[in-house]
Amino acid sequence: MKKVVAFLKKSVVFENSALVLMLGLCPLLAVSKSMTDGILFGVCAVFVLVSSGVIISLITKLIPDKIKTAVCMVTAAFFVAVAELLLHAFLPDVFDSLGIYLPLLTVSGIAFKNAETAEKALVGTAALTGLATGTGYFALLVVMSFIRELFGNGTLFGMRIFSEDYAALVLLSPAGALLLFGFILALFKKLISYLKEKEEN
Amino acid sequence: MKLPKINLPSLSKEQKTELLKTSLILAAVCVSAALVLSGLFALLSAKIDRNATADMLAVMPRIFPADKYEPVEFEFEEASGVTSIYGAVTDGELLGYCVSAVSKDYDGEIELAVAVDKENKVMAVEILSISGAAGIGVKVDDEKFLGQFAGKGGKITAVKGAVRNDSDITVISGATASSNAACDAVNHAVAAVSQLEAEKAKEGAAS
Repeated sequence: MKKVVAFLKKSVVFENSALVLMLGLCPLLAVSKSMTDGILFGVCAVFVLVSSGVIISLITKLIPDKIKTAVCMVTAAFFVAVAELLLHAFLPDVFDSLGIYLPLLTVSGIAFKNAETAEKALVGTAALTGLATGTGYFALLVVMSFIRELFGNGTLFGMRIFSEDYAALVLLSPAGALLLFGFILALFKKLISYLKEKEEN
Repeated sequence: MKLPKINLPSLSKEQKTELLKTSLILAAVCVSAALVLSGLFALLSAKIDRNATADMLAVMPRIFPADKYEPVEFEFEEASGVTSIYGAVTDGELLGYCVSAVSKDYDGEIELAVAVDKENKVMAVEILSISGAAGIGVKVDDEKFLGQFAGKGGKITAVKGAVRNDSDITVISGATASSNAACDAVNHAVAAVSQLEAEKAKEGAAS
């Protein structure tokens, strides 16, 4: 159990795929305009990472080395397509606003790195890695979309919190997203170095 | 003409088997993924189709009260932006049309439902969907702005400040691009209906 917690801590915080490895930034910046989109995209990411991780680690022994990358891509694309179809059928509004960014998850570095780890891991570890990577990404999506929707539009989950006259529209634009990401990154680096120092002492 | 000779690497029997095996595995993986996906799509496609028309069906009774709405087959150019046309029918008589049309916004698209009567005048307009930066486009979803379209026909122009002509509407300040987009979509809808009516008249004259 202790091992699992340490593992989660390591991959959610110290090796956060977006904040440390800078993977999957394009969808992150694009879909974090509203809480609903951000959370659902995060859920899709977790779903894709966990299920493709499990499948890849199950079939990896049957796959020759030469085509491993191709099979990994097909697996990731498969689960993205499943998520896409389900969203299209049951949450069409969210499907429309996620647009191209959901299919982009297939070719984002997050899926690749996850697949690479899963190749060499047992099923349990692969699932846990997917979950941890996904959770780290999910957490960042929630933070970003919370700040962007609240301060950029004055709403949360579409409910008005304060008048839009006081909202900073720039936060809703891609440039605003990049700026915000920069600030979050700076804070995160500070936090990491603080945590590391604490651990050493 | 002599074809250049291609030197294929000579493969031993084991290498050939290996190559064949690899290709077969890759093909098997792709085919099975595709099969599962097409099965899932077959399950869900009816629901997806219903979603596509659900918005329009919900909006139409508000903008054009009628007994029933019949989808109209149409062939317009892609560029016209018209996505669907319904004839509004009451007591077996065609009263007018509901048209959905899209137009490019500042950084996305705006889709409108437009009710047009048989005299080619706009009756009411409602927003179906707005994509793009949330804060800007949604300003157009305003009764005062959309109300301006009612009773207008022909080519409507969006102007800044006071209107000069009958066919003018005032843009929303701070959302000029979105206002223009909405105006374009309404124009597309009106143009589509007049084209439809013209074709009908031609057919009527011919028969």
